[in-house]
Amino acid sequence: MDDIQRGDPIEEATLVNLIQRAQIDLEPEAFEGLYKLYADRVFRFLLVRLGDVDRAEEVTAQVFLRLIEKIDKFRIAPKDNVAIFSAWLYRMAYNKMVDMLRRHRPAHHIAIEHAEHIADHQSIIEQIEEQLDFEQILNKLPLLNDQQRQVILLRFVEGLSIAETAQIMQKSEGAIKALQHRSLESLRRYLQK
Amino acid sequence: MTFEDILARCLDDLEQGETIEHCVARYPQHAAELISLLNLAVAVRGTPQPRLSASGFARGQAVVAAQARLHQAHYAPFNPARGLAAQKLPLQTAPTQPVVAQKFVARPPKLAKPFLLIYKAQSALIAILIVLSLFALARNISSSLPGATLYPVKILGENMQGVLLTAAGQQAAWHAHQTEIRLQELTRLGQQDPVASAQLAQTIDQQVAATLHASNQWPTEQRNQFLLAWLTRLRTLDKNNQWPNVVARTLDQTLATIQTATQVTIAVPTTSPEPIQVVAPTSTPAAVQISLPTTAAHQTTMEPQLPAPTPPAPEVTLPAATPASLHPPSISPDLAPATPTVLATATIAPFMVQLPQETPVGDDHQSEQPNKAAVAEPEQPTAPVVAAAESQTADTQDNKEQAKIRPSTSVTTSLDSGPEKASTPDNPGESDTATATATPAFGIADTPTPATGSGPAIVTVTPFGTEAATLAPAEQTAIVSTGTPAADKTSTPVAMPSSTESNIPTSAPAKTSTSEPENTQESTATSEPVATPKPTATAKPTKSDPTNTPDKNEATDEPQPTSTLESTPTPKKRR
Repeated sequence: MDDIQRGDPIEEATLVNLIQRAQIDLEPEAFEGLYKLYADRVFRFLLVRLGDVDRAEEVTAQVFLRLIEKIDKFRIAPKDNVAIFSAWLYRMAYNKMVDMLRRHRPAHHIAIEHAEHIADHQSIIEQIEEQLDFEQILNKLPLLNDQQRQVILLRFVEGLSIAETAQIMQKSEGAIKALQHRSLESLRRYLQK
Repeated sequence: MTFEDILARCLDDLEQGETIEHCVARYPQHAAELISLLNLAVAVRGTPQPRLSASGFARGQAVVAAQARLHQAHYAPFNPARGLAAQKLPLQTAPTQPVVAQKFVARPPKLAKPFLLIYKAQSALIAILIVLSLFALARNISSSLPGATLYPVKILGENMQGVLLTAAGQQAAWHAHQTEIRLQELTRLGQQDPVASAQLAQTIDQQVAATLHASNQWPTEQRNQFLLAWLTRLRTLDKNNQWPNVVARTLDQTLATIQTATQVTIAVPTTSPEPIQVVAPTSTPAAVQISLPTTAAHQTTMEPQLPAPTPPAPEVTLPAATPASLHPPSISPDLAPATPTVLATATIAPFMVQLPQETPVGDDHQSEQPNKAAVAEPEQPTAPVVAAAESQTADTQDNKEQAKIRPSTSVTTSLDSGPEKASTPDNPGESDTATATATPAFGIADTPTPATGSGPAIVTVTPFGTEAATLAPAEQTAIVSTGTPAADKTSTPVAMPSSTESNIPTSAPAKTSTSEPENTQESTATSEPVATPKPTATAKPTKSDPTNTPDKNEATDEPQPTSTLESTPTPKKRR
């Protein structure tokens, strides 16, 4: 538990251990470990969809509170628990985001400057350059539709595979491949303008 | 392989560390398009990914930890999955059950609430109160009397029950039960509400009539059992002499009506040594078996003019008596014969007697009308009554001998004849037109009605006078004779008290007449044997029979070998 750091790559054994501890003993440390592993991922997922850092942070916290209540619903599979749990958590974040969007109007402005997307050790110049690059991408992502944005996020930001993306988006792998192609074409067209 | 598949494969290869040039080299035909898309994908992947701010991350972590501790404090003691804590699931195996008792986990411990017991006790108390209230309401409804607020509810419920029972074929039982309920209400109501009592009495009459009507289609035995049981139940109410008049009168009337409708067997004195089976064919399906109090004076015998033939037509149309003409099967003391004769009852199966629904009762005017009913065989010649009567009563010794034969060869049927105005043999042209179109070998014994003149009577048609009739049992037939004032001397209406549900011809004979011409003062139902070539016997009573409907009644007495025989009393020896 103590060795889990923020943003560490997710391993199957670690994840299963955390889930079991959270389900059986309801250990707060297990939930904290899950939060460290998935907080930034959920935040990015929500940020791309919402475009607002504050709302993304708020919804991220609500997603993990929901995870505490619903952790017993998750069934540990013989394998691929990382992909399954990620898909389950992203789906929970998506539902929570939808609930929030139903209560509030969607944000029209992206407060990208509030995102702490630069590592502490990076220089100021690098932070600005990377911020501009990601800001350009975020500025063009709203031009895409929801599914194209989600595919871009899951496939190229979160680094999920075709199968994981298909499971999260509840589509077939062929549909994800086609959607991935159209998303890259659209994004390239918008970036060239 | 489509371009989408090629792109997906190249993206996967790039994730594995392969370069864009290697991917494009494998698919030169898509090189241009692949290069642009792969570069864009690498650029997107290479961009620094946004993360939660440090404050946001710490804030979220604190919230999650606090909620996790609270969650553990609430649900960990009740978590059924704690029993599985020792056996950690292997990494590559799925749990047998996810988490079974999620509801127990999701709910806080309710036993800690101090008001839980009070809450449960209140619920139970409220439930008990509701049940008791409903029970008390049901009792009040069932015990409500006319005029009460809940009485319409009671009637409504009874009507609903009645609909169901009627649909189930229990209409008679339902009406009988309603009669009992109304009688109980009437006895309870007493003199409190005269108006309601009168209405109840009317309702009771309706229910009794409905019961009798509903049970009219039943078999005889079933109907008798039902009516007797019903009568027994109703008689249990007749124990209080302090009832007001309306109650006592209604109850008595009800009992009398039911008793009238019930078959009753009465020992009838007769000179015949053997019991005689009496057959009372009625139009109703329930055959009425009656033993009638008859005496020798109440019966009209008929001298045989021809050998006992075999009547071809077994159907006899009998006039039906109104319910008012029915009398309880009790024997009047003054009419009780000195020598009782037990008349066993039986049913003549071949006889199909049709009774009209209504018959004028006690109407002398109608009874004096000539009988225009069609005889079964009107073309047959008939003999005058006087001659027949004279020949019949000429020799008493012959009658005595015939009386010995009669019990085994005669059949008695109910006859509605007016005893007071019965036709006499000395007036054949006017009223003594009772002709026997059947064989003269049958004697008719008439049992007149009581003093009202409308009551049913019993006519015993007895084949006698011939040795062949007595020696040949196969020719022993049952004859249903009717007493009707017939002007045409051919029809013989039969007075049957079948208008009521009971179809019981009560025997309350006042006076009987014989076929003897010298007994002109006696009102009798005269049966006149007519010498006809056909073996049919039609007994015609006098015109003064008030219960007869001579216009429509037709009686054709045909002896049937299978008919039940009735022993008739001995011929009247009146000189």
